[in-house]
Amino acid sequence: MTDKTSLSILVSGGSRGLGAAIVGHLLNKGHQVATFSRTKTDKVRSWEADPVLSKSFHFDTVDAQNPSDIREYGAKVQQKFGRIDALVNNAAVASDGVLALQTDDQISQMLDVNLKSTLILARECVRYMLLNNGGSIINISSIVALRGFGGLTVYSATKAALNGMTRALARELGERNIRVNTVAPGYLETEMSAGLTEQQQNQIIRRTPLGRLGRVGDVVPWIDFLLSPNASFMTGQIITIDGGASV
Amino acid sequence: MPQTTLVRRRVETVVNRVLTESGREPCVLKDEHVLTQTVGLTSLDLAQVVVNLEQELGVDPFRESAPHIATFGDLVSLYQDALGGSDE
Repeated sequence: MTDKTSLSILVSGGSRGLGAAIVGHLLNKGHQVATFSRTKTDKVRSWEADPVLSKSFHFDTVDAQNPSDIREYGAKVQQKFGRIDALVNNAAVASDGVLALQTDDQISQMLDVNLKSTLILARECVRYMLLNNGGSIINISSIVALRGFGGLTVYSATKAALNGMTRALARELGERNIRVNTVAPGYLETEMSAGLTEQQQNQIIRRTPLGRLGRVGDVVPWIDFLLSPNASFMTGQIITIDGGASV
Repeated sequence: MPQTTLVRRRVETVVNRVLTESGREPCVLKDEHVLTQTVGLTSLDLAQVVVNLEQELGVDPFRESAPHIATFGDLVSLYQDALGGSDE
């Protein structure tokens, strides 16, 4: 599938942060892109208002905690674009705090959005990719799946689960030319890390050999690469982009 | 042509399409043929059969439950039941 110049790509959680950067980049490259999130942002409105980009953009408000909504969204994208060539599993929530003080609801929300809905969305897209005999799935994991960081126990568990999903699904789908890979960024300068204290940010920077937080621009080229024919022999891999923090 | 016969033919056509797309020989399917042994379908082949049949017949009996099927006849019956038909 990746020899085509224009792909139909579903990006979950593409209204802000890294997800929005990925959506914007893929739209500018001429791909058809569908995304959803809980709320519509100004960024989404700007794509919808753009006379060129709006033709290849589709957005819906979807609560990723609702499995049936996720399932319906996959069908809607398939109907609108006629095919789904690639899925970028980006949607995630993070509730910072020590496990001892996390509520049941906080734990459930992270498991539902970061893991359950990701699996359901992947299942739906895999079904369409099986019809096409090819596809690419890219999971957005995190450095915290590889290295411990206090206060993010549940979030880390969900991201580590994505790494396991990546390897298993890559084995399962390789013979149908469906590739599954993961990009695991370090801490990025996005809204998600804006909640960190200055002390926490400085601690991360001290632990990072390249001496700064990551930027969305450090990650987006890897999405491009994994969607391209250059990555046609690559599956089941976890690509860590963290300025060396995990070494 | 009765709907039940039509469903059987559609299922057989899709199974054979999945076989031939992966370089295997099509076969004349009988009810007693065991899908994993006689026919040689893998789990992923079966998934491909199911998603193709959903496109063609508009139903997926595997959506809400995980029915146990062993033979081609089991598979056909599953779709006949899902479409509200019978062999009689």
